[in-house]
Amino acid sequence: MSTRQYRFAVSSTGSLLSSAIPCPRRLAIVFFLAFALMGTWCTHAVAEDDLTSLSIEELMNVEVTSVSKTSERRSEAAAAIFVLSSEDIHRSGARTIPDLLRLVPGLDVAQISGNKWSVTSRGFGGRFANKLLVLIDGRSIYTPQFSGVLWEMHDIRIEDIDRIEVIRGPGGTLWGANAVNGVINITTKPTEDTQGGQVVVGGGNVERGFGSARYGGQAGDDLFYRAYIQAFERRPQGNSGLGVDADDDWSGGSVGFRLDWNATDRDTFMFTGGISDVKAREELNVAVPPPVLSTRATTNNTLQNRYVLGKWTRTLSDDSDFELQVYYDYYIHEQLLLDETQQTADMEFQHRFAAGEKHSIIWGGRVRFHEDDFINTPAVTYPNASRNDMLYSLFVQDTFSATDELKLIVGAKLEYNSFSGFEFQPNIRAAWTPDEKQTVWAAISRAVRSPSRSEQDLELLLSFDTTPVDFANVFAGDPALESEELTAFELGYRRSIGENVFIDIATFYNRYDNLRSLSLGEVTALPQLPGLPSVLIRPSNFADGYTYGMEVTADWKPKSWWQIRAAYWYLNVNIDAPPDFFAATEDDVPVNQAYINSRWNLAHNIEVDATLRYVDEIKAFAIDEYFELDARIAWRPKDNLELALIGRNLLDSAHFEAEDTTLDFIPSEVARSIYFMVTWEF
Amino acid sequence: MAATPAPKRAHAAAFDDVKVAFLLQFTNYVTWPEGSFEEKDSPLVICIEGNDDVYNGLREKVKGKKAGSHPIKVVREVSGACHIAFIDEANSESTREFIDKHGTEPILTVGANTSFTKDGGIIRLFIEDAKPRIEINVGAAEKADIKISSKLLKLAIIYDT
Repeated sequence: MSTRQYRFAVSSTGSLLSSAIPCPRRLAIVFFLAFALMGTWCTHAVAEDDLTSLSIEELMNVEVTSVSKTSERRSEAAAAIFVLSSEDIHRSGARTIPDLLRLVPGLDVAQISGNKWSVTSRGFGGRFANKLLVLIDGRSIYTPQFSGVLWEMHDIRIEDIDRIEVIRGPGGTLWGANAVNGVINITTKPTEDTQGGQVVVGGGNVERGFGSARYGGQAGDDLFYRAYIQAFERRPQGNSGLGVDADDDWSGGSVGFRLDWNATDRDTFMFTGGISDVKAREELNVAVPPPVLSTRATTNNTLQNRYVLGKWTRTLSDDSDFELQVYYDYYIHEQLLLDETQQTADMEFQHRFAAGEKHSIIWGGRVRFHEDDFINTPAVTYPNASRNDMLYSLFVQDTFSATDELKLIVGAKLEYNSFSGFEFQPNIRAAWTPDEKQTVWAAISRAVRSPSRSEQDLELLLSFDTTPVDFANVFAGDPALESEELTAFELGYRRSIGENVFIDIATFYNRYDNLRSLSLGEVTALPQLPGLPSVLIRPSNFADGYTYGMEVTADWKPKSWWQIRAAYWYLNVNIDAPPDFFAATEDDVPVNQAYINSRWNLAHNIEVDATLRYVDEIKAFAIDEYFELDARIAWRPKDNLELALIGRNLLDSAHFEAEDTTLDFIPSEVARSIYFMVTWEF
Repeated sequence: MAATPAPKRAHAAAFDDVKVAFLLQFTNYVTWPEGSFEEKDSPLVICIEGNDDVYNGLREKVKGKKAGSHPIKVVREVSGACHIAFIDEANSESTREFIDKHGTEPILTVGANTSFTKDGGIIRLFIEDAKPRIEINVGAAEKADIKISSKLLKLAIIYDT
């Protein structure tokens, strides 16, 4: 039995359920943290409330300390937060969410094939990377099967994204189990901002064609809505290293809507829903009985997603509000070796209020129901083919203004789910702002990753072998598996230099315990593999380790029409397992990554953007380091018309970024991609 | 959003926050000609172009506020439908284009780049010695039929072509 097989099984991840808090709330919390310090507790900075109550004469006496508000808002948060604004998103020219995430320092994004991605934060990658929580408008988009994200399934309209907020580091307290290494919060634009019609069409060599149409309108003064339809098709990319064209094309479409209603002075409602249908082709090596042992197969996987979400926000007073959110999400995923259906119904509430002069408290709870259904095959079998889970959680967080310059945030979340019991995740954070130009922050947190359905219950055929006799290697989940634990220590510093430069540094030391390990278990005959013995490979929690690293971002605006962003991040991974046990490899993420992005606004309404990226080698998979260049040039001949030419991965005709050993799935190269895009508004 | 009461005296702030406050103040010191509003409670439209932070900040601040009898509505792009057009673009081409197109319409144009009033904009916001200042192009105000209260004119630097 080879190491590859163990690595294979080890990277097949999973986690049960995660609690998620809708993005606007998360935004509220971040801005809240920002404003909280900007306001009362800091003698120097002024809360916005204060400015608008000044007379004009008083306004003219205010000392202006920085040009932009964004730096200030971000600068007060006691967490490693990075925001991609709608402008950043628009100027990047990217057409998929993982491509957008490449611009976030601390995230490791690798494209495995034309439609498969590995996205992780601060280590532990792979297609089934399981330590990151991802939300779209408050709806969690990871699958509990392996607690990862099927990036290929989510067809969201890029033009409707308002911002992507990424917090690297444990978000356990507010965002629940599974937000172990980070949270990605994708919010769509309020419908008030997307009124009228917009049509986008484009195509190129790899992006064979894409198009979408959106229409936004209003009913009266208080109700705004939009609806959209979208379709795309992507060609197979590069070759798969075997000398032939990869079979990794990707196509699909979706429709969706969003509605915002300001029902009364104090109540707003938001509704959103959508249907998407995607096909993603993949090639894999399939284990077959001796003497053949292995064969290649290609399948065109189907992914269908339907969801609906509603949220009610009620303003209780100037400094308190209440939010209630309900959603239902349903998806079907049909692959060669497994068909699955997943349904989630989730309800959560949150209440924010001031307690005395120095405390601001947020608390809330969640109830989630989840059901899955699998159609088994001999290679992939869930003996318990259908299962229901209930998850309950409660959280509370207090922001305490100890002094004018120092705030402390203490919080905890308690979760209970039917299959892994209780989990407790506390954290404590502090932010110190000695003057309006700089902030130092620190945090200690505990976060937990609950075992996934697959880790608890799956029987997965890894390979067949013939010495000394014919037998099968099968990964067999263990319901007694425990959660992985993280204790994270973080320290960060932000500073404005002059009016045009802003620097953000985040460092971390993560201590992991109870990491998943694998070992050889008993030999038995499995009903789905009759006629030969199966050697079971069982998961356990005997690995542990630590990671440490740093992320640095610098923003510089040398001219009003030219801005530059540079980022660098470093990660060091160390994992240990006892003899006879195998753990995730240390070298499956790059150690160093960096990029520099330049944005020019030129005359005649021309925009030029360029990003030069560097990603270090991945030793475990023998993937070389690479440099790549993405560029965009756009022209607005009229206010409502934009023509853009976009190139991605321009430096090489094709390059490998990752491997996925989980299902002996065949990776392919990422090809140079050039496409043209027209955006027309009416 | 702050959960505790704010201090009475303002010391320092970001320029974008100051812009938001000024835009709100201007609604009190400017009179639009007859017919600029369909009804008494038609919204006063403030358009923000080129600065997401000012847009978001202003949207927050106008909740529940009115300019006289008019509720305030904030939109993202400038057009002839604005009562106040705030253009925070780096290059002056957008300003000149807008003025060429809408300079004689009753729109209060506000901007922050250095040649704003020279390009025909009505109010320019700038920083001098770390303090916010206003420059008003009275000729442009006249062309647009916008009346600016003498109180505001007294606080501003007058730009006369």
